[in-house]
Amino acid sequence: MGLRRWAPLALWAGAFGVGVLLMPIADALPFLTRANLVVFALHGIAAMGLTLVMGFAGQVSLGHAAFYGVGAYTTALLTAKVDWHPLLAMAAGAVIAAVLAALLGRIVFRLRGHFLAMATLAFGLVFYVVMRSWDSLTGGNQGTGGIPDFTLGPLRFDSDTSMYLLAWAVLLLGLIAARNLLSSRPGRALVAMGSSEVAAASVGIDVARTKMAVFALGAVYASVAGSLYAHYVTYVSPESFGLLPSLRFLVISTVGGIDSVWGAPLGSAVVVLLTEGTRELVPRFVSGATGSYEIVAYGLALVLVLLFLPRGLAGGAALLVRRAAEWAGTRRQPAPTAALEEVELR
Amino acid sequence: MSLLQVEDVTVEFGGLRALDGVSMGVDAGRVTALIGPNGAGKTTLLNVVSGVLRPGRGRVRFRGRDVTGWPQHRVAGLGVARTFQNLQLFGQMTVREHLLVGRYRLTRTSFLEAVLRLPRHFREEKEGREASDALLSRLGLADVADWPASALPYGRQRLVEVGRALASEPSLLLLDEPTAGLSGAEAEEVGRLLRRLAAEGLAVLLVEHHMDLVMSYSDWVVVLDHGVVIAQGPPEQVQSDPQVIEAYLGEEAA
Repeated sequence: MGLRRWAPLALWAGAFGVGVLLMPIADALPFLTRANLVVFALHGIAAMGLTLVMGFAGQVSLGHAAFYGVGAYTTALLTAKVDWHPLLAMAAGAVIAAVLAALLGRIVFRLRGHFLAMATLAFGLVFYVVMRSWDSLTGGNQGTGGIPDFTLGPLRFDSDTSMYLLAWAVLLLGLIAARNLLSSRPGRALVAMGSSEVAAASVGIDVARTKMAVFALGAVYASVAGSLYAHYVTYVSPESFGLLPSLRFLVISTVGGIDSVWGAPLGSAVVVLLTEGTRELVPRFVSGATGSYEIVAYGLALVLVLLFLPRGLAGGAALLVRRAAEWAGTRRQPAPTAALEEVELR
Repeated sequence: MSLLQVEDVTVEFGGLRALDGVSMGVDAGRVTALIGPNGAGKTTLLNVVSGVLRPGRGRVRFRGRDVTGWPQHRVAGLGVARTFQNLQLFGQMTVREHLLVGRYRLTRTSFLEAVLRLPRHFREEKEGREASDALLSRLGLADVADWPASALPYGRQRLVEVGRALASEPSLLLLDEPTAGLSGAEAEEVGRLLRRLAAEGLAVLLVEHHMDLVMSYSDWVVVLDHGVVIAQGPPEQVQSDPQVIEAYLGEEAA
């Protein structure tokens, strides 16, 4: 029990530690910048929300970046224009995102199959268009800037390093919240629903409402990450919340693995490296290459993972942890099957 | 009045009439068996009662309350639990977790209370653990409580489904072929369990193919054929009903 119980936290601490060590030299390393380390954590938080939605509501969302955008724009407008405290603005963004997600969920969860994905795609595009067109409020294509640093009492998060620490603290909170949830009544209802809706309903679980709730929860994760992002870059514009960012979250969650909330940070690391890698490498081989070549890398990573690690990186990591635990001899009972491995990593 | 009353229920799939004016009752403290040849509409009736299907015509009353067309989770919330013919277990969950999910309707912990680990979470987890441990021992599943249900042999997986249903402390239990794929001894075991549950006041509605089991463990038998109730009564009476014999012989001849 011991090793498997603590392995996830060790994983978090390890990744965090590596980040701290890398931070001073990040800009000198290939495929890495300080900013990437921060973005990695922020995307990990947002994608964790999508992992909950995909893993448990069984819903593919093509509009997750819109909720990231709700947080970013709410923070931008409330802190830069009307001088709200960052924490209050963040909370406001989370509430708005949750309400929007619940409303969207009400409509969307009546639909089935491709229509679901289409509806979220439409939502993402509508958000993008509204942000771009509502000049007086959002600054349109130019976006809106002047977002102050995030502050918490005497703490001011005004550097890459401090933002990195903040993002990782929030990531940890997100992981703990998800773990707490999953090992409780409502979380077990989510897992049950993700596995068999008819059986979940047969014990009294309101499937439609539970889906709405997890959709709203996923939106809150995205919104909080979006708020932090706004403080970090001090400027938001629509491009950060369009279709490509939504696809990126989808790739992060899938590559990381949707069975486990630990998948999102893992997937995020891979995607950050891929994005930066293609940005640096492609122009070296293709002269005059500009544009979003990372999408090709995303596609490739997605295919490879789905072929060789269908449960994502987290599924693969869970297997490693299990092997390590076996090796350390901490398993108390005879192994019934390999199916046990995932349970602990949730 | 019966705990469950089905009145004149008709269900059509396209042009096919799966149930045609079915009326029957299920009483507390009794095992009622629903039998009939394949395609007679037994599972369809269970689906109507548990809210999976809405009947085209007719009413379903539970404790005198009209629950026709109610969604599944609301019917379950009143204390109607069921199992499935094709097992519907929850992927990676352990046996104990299945029982904890079964207690959903009896518990209240919300998302927020769970995330923040507020007192209600701990209280309900403790109660749930105690209650499910007791039920696990009763079903002979205590030794595999922490196993993933999917790792168990088929017969015990069926028991996990029964356990999940019982964990919700229902007053009506609907069982869809609980002994399918079980050995004779295992099926006997299920039969004895059903007798004990009925003795405690539970109403059991059992869809079953195992004729020996039906004859020795049920109090009342309802026979469906082509969506119509062709006979009902105590087992020995139904057994000798010429219409019933014909329905079954007809199936074998076909």
